[in-house]
Amino acid sequence: MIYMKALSSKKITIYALFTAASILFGYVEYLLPLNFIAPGVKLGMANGIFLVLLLSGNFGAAFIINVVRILLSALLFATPFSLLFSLSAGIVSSLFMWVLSKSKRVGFIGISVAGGAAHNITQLLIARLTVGGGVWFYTPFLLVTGLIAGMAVGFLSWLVFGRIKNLFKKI
Amino acid sequence: MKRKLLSLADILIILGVILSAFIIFFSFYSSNNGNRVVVTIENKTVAEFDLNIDLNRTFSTEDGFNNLIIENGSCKVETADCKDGICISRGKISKIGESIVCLPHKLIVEIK
Repeated sequence: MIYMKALSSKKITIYALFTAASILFGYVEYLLPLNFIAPGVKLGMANGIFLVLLLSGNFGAAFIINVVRILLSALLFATPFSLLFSLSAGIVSSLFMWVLSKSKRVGFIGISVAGGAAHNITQLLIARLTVGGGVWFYTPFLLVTGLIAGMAVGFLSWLVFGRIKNLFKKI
Repeated sequence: MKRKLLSLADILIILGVILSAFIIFFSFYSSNNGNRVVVTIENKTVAEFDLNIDLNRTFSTEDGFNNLIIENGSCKVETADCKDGICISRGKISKIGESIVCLPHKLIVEIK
């Protein structure tokens, strides 16, 4: 639907590399859990990959890589119940960041922070529906930790973007 | 126009997140001790206890078990077989609105 024309081998290689890197980021976060602060707290480094691809004008690739990452990570370290959380939050936050990126007035940090907040709020809504009302207690913690993580990831993706933006011009 | 690292719109987004966190914090939190403990599993209330009466009860579902202890006006999950153990590391709760969530077992302990 998004790609009618065939991908060049260079594109396939770059997208495969980005997918592998984003799964690796997820694994690093799995090894260094931050969720003792509150359930669901994480750095979200894989979102940096999404941001770099999105802001270099490759939303389709960014979205597909994100969904593939979530499905493959679920096979490696998750359960069907946690896949429900990660997949819905991943899709909602991806679309939200895509809409925000339409305006050039919103910077890297703004898109990253808003995407992090959308991710956390989606997970809280799913938890509210499946587990119960007590999960709202964690909302302020998740918003504040998500803000800090979102700013860090936004800054990192800005650094990476500056270095590799020309990569996408020739493919 | 080149996209900035941090723009005015970004600062507004950041302030918006901080403001909503504060509003939610002050509308939910209470410094008053509660007197009831409500246990819900999969969004259904399964048990209600008095916070002032000591108790040791285990809740088992097909997902696993959580051992709830109420003593000296506060409650905690002492042991559980979930893989993350977040419910145990949450520690003791006693204030109105506080909760212990065990996502893998879809269990919530809430103070009312």
